[in-house]
Amino acid sequence: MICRFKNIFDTSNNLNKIVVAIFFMALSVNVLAQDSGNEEVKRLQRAIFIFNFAQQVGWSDVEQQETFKIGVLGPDRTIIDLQAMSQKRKIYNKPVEIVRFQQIREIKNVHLLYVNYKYNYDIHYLLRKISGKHILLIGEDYNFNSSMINMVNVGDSFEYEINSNRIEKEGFVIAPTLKRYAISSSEKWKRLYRNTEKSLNVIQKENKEQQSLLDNKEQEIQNQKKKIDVKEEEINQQHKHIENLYTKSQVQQKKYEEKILIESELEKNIQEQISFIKTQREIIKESSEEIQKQSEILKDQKSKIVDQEEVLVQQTSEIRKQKKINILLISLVVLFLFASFIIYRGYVAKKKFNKELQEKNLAIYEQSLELEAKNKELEQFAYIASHDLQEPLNTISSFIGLISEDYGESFDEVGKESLTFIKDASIRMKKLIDALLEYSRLGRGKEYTLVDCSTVFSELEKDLKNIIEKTKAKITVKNLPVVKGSEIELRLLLQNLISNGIKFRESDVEPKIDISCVKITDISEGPKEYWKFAVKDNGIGIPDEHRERIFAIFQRLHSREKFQGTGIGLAHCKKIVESHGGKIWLTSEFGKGSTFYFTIPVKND
Amino acid sequence: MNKLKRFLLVDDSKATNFFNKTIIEKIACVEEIVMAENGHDALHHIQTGIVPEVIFLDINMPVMNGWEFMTQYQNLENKYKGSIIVLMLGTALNDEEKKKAEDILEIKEFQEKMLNTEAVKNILTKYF
Repeated sequence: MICRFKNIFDTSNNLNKIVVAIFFMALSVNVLAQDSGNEEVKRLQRAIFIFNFAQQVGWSDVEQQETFKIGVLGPDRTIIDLQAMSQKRKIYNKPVEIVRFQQIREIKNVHLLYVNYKYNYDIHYLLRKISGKHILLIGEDYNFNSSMINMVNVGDSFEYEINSNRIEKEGFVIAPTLKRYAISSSEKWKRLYRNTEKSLNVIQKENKEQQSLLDNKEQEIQNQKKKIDVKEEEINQQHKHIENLYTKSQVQQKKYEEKILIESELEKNIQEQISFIKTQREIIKESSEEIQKQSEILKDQKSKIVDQEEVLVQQTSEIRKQKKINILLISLVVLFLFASFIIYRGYVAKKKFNKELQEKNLAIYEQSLELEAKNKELEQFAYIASHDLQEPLNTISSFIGLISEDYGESFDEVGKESLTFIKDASIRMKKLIDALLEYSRLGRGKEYTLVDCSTVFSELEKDLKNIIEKTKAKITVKNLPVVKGSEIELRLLLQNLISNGIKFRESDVEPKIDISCVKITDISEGPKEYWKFAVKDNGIGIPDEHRERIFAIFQRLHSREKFQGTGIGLAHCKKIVESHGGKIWLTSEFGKGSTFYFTIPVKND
Repeated sequence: MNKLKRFLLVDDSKATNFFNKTIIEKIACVEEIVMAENGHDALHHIQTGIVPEVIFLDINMPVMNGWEFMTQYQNLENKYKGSIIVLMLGTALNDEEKKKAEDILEIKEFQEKMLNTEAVKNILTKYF
């Protein structure tokens, strides 16, 4: 590419070189000759310079382009000059296109860019931006060596300096002629800059002088003009005066006629006005009537609105009420539903519970029936057994009586003693059978009456008079109630307990028995009231391990020799208490005495 | 006191009959003591024409018990009746039995099964 470009340069530019050289020479002569050129020449010169710079630098891609593009940065009028020039000249035989850029970042697609220092673009920033874009930058009035080609105005023409390093870095090739006429030192550049300023000052001074001369001349002309004006004014005034005089008489005649005409017109006018006013009045009247009507309607409407408002207020309050009622109703319904749900659940649970209870009750009932049957059977068995046992026993004891009566004397000692043992045994057996029979009979008769325990006790005291006197027993009684039960059984119960208290004592101790009763409430099977009896003695006491045993039938803790008895007394007591629906138990301190407790329900089921 | 002619002991227990016979014989107040094992046997004796002055009647007996015997006895011809009937008791009568016994006019006395001389003497003084 570069080779081709060089060729182009070499072949086509030999002639050009000479032309440009002559041209620059001529220019510099021109500059020297005419210190005070005018602005137009300068502008034309600038355009020529820029076009020449373009022709002196080689572009590698210029052959491919259809046009040669020159950009102008800033609001520079140079663009006009360049455009004018582009009509006349071509660069590398391509038509020239001139483009304006207002900002640095817009710059693109140009071969050459011109910028003037007075528009304050930062040259360094500009250089950075166009770097690598293959654009030749031509600055004006910039510092030495700061642009690629920098030009400065000297008189009517321009001097320039070339920064060949930058240009070559961008890949441009500069014609040697261009280098030759370029300023190569910063000193010269500065001087030129100063010269220009000096010449400018001189020119400005001269201009000022000429201007002041011109001003003087103008002043004179103005003065002259003023004088003429004054004269003219005078003439005009005189003229007017004459005219006035002439027209005055005419005017007065005219005025009179006009007056009459005006008056008649006025009259007419007034008439019209009057009729108009009349119609207006009517209209006003009508409209006022209308307004009145309207206002009445308005009033009506207002009152209606007020009424409506009242109705509205009432309705809103009703609506509110209704709302409240609705809310209340809804909450009531919800409550009701909730309550019924709970009730239903409770009902279901209760039903289930009831069913279970019923089943259990049934089972218990069946069990109790079975138990009752078994009990009855057992009692029947005991009854029959004891009844049937009685007969042979009676026979035995009767015969023994017969034998001992009729033949006892003829027996030897062993025979007699044996007979005594047999007699004792048969008596004891009879007692046992009697006790068993009695035991089996207990609780059979369920005919309960009100029994006054105090009475029962006093009767018992009489029955036991013998033994009480014999043992010097002291029996105290406190608060005995009236209870419902079987009198015979209750008497037997008390009798057994009292006689046990007397019987089971050390021989040297006088028996002391306290009988008392309190009302208690047992909550273990639902609250139920009981009479709790206590029979306290100062007897031998009962060891802990025997507390249950003593209530069993025919159980004895001691030998018959020590304490007589069948061993069925407490079994009787237990059966009596339990058949009355109570309990029997005891507390005892061995050797010091026992207290038997039993309960009888206050009310029988 | 003249000796009575005949007593009838009605009991299925030979021992009881034997014992009671011994007791009665001790007093020596009667010429003949006849023994029957049950009501049927007793009726048979009576119907042979030998009417006893006193009948000691047990209640619980096989074949024909005391109560059945009494029913039959009441239906007899008058010539066979007229005995003093003593009801012999093994144990105390219950209320029902007591009422039943009281309704029968022919039953004059109640006595414990095993007689003793005192009881026999009481009966004799009461009725003869």
